[in-house]
Amino acid sequence: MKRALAVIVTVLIGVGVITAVGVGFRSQKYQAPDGRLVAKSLGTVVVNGKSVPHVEIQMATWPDSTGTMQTAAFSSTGTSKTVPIHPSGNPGWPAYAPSNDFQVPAGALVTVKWDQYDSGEALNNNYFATPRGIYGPLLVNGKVTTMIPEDGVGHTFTVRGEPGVDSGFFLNVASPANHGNNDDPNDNPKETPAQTVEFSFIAGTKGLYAWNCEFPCGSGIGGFGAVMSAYGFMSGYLYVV
Amino acid sequence: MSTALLEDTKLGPKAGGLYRHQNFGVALVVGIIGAFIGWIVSHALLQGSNWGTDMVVTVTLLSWAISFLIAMGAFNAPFRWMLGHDQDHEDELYAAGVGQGWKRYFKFCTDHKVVGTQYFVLVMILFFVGGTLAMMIRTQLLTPHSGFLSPQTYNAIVTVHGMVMIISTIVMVSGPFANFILPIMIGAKDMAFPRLNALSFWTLVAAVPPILSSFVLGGTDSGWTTYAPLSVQSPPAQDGFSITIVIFVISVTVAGINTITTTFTMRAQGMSMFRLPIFVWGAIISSAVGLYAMPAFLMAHTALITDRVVGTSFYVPQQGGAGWLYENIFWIMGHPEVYVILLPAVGAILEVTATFSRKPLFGYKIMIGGLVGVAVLSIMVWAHHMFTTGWAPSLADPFMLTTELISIPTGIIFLCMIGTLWRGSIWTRLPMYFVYLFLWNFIVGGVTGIYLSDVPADQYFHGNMFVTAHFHYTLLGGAMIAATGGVCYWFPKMTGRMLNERIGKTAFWLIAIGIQVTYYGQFLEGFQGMPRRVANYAPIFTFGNQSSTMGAYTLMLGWLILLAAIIHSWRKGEIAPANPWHAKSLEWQVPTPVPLENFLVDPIVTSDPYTYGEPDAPATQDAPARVHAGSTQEGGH
Amino acid sequence: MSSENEFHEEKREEIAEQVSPWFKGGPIWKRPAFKVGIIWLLMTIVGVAIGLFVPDHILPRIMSPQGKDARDTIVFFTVLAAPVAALVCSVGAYSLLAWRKKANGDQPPVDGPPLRGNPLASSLWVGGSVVLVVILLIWGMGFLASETAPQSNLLQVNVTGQQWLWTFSYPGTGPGKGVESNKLILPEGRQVQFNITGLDVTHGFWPVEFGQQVDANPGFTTRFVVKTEKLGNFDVRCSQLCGLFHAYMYAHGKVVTTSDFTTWLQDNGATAAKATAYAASGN
Repeated sequence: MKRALAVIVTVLIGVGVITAVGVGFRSQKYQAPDGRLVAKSLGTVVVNGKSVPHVEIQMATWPDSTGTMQTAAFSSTGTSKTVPIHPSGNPGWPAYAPSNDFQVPAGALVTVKWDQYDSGEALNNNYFATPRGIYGPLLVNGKVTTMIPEDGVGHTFTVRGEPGVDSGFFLNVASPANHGNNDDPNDNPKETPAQTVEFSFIAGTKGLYAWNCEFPCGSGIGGFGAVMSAYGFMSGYLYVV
Repeated sequence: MSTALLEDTKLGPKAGGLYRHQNFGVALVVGIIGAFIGWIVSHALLQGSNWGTDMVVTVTLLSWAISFLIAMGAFNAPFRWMLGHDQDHEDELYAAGVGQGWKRYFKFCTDHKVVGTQYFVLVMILFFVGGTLAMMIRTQLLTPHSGFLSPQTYNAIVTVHGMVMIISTIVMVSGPFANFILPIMIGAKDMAFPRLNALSFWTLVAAVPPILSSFVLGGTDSGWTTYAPLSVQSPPAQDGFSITIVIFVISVTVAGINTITTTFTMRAQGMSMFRLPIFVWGAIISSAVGLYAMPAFLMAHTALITDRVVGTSFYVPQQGGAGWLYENIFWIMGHPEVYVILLPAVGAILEVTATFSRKPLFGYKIMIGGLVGVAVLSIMVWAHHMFTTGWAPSLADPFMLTTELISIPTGIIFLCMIGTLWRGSIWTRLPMYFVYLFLWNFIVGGVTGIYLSDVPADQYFHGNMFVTAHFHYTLLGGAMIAATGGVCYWFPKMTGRMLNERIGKTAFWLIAIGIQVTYYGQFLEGFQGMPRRVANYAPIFTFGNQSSTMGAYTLMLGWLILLAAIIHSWRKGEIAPANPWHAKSLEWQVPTPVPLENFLVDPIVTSDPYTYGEPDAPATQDAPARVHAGSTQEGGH
Repeated sequence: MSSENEFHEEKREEIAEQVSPWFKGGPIWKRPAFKVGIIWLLMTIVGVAIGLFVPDHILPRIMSPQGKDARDTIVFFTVLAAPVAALVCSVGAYSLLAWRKKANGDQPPVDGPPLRGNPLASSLWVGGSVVLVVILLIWGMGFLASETAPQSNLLQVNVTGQQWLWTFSYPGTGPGKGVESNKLILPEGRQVQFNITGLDVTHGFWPVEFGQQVDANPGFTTRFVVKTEKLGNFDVRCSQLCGLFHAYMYAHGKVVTTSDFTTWLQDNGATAAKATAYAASGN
């Protein structure tokens, strides 16, 4: 009896330690303090003869993740507050803000409004300079555009569907580089206004889609080190629910 | 000449010198302080330079290791010798742990039995760490698109799980048993280099914080193989990883030199090479392969460190280097390394097979030939890991040839095992259970390796879960199960208590079933086409993954119950006689607990240890009673 | 010393002869060899059945002769491995069933016979493994030779792997890289040569249903050839860990008829002339 007790106690302690480690790793998962950015509902719209929800995402890319920003129209409730661009930002690391996780309804028409404050250069693969998978036109600073200049890309928003479920889903939009000096994170208003990008796409079936930026702004030879390898700055998930 | 027990010697108050104040706790504190100083100095010197974080991490972790080892007392003896104030006999007795009781397990103790026990405990801790990480991986893979872990954390866990397991499996048999048991098995009083023995252990301890630092430095995202150029790009955790390798290789090299020298120079009278137990052959051949292979590991990672820290371009293609260079150097180590893992374990399980079949080992000399054949061929097969890299396609045929050839000496292991079992007198105690499990698992692992050795098949299977299932079957199902058999076999000699068989057998069945379910699930995934090292997968792989996770939880339960059996038996188990298995090798002919110099009377060997069933073979004697201080015994030391 | 060894040798041989050899004596169905043979036969039948029938159900749909080579190899090796594995298992299992001895408390059972080896058995074993290895090698080298034989009339497709996406281009179908896509569309019935490179780290280009893969290395171009025998969808997966979204690095692939292929090229920006010329191109 005592032996059985000793065994049970050891096993329970072992399982307890493993669970505690699991909880610890789970908490390492970067998530913005406000959680996912749920797309704001704009009602419904008819697409290809069907009525689908119409939602909007507003996001921005900043050159330095250690500053703060206003979330005027970003939140789904419409109220404005000051949030850090990235809660654990590093100096010199750009970030997508206010969150790297977005949520949209399945099959919805998603309109994205993107304020781009960061500089940029040439891509390593010009395939990504052309918008792909969008519904309707791409508007850059209010003008219809078919391609971003290959040597002046700031960031890209490249989304791929769940492997094996929606491998056909693909969205890629590049934004132009902002040639002003917007590096000071506490500079408000910014030295130069954002490059604004607006486009729409049709969300696929339910699932966990992954997005990342394909402009190599990280360190290292391929440009994909440092910030590009750290989850949550130039990469994230798109929850299609 | 005093004939009292050496370990009962009363030492003077100054014996041991600096050793008196040095132990694990002190070394831990000094190591942390040293790391801190290293951090401050490198930070100050490199402030604003291009070399940045990678250099700081490298210097900090190296400072940790060096400070820790100095504070442990690893370099006391050489320094005293250099200063002309060499250790005297009393200092050496102190260093061997005389008069310190349980505290000697936390000090730089040169007694090979203490080092063996220290390795045993460290290996169990490392397996617990690696196993916990495995549970993280399997929990993440329970559903196709789990949000349990972020992809960065997942990749970091996959990497550290792999490295910790590789480290643990390399030392799991050589550490505890080649240190504790081997010298007694050959009739020696200790190992050839007792201080190097302790150094190899404490160096391994020094390697543990750097590998765990990975999780706070951003995590490495390139798997335990850390292929370049991805690893050149990785966060600073990669430097911690590479430093771990540097320290680890030093530990293994030192241990290997010790094992081989001991076996060649310190055998008892009459112990010819062909009277050695097969375990000794397994240990020395594995050490020889390790001495060949480990420097390549060191080289691969040193070049990686310089690529990252100083900006060389060994592995950076955009500057004239190549990822293939890393892959080649790495696998020149990587393939022999799995035989470094396997051979001592096979040696151990062969000992168990002979003892519990009550029969001589079948084909002893052929087995030695097989082990040598495996060792020699293992250095010629490395590029079978690179069949699909696009490197040197014309070399595919030669490497396919050598890889398939290696199945011949490996098959001899099966020949000797079933030959020993055949017509034996099978005694189904707990260690024997592991013999049968090893047989089954190693068949599956070995056969699936043949699939991978065939280039056209490998072009489908490379990088998918089939490979993962294959090496887990051979390393976990084969080597680790054989090592566990060894643990159950030598537990009474090392701890003085019998391992509780009831609990052990319960654990055994859970482990046996757990292994099959876990890895059959992964074979299925591999056939279906699931890549390895993925945090998410396509829904068609759900069944395989969920089965595999269920199996993994079962396996975890089994290992925890075995751990409980070990802890409980060690503390409160039935006291073991000196030779509970009535085995014939020398380690069972000495008393338990084993005296400091192992033998009260120098042994003279007249046959190999496989004289089961021979009517005029020397009977196993009950070990002579310990001689108490004050009595005399003829022929003592 | 050596005369003592000889004495022991003789003693051992005496004892070995007294133990009845397993291939002689008594009715055939009582001999151990027969019983082992029964177990062996049953296991072999099961193993061969698994080898013949299971792979096709769990492998993905094979769409090229190279994939078929892999599938045939899997079947052949399983069928060949079954008797070998069965031999080890049947001997081991029979030993446990027939010779498991009751132990007397902590005393071990009586020792078994001092049989240290059997030169005939050992030679047969080692010789048998050599023969098996030669068979496996001839098989493997044969398939490898047919796969690496120079082909003519190759359609060139360029593959680029980068973190964490595949892009494909069809050289000659337009200016610069030609038509580019993140989907791999191929015409049926062609020998396609993939020219593969990486832009940042090593990726693994693995069009699964074709049964072939090669790494995409930055700074180098690797190649392999497959024949697109069947129409249908296939998956391209990345088989070399490449960072954060390695798991998401899938691409959608499809083998279509030649006319659908030229239509698709034109939908993606190629002129009709270039599309047709490309679809008919070869070495």
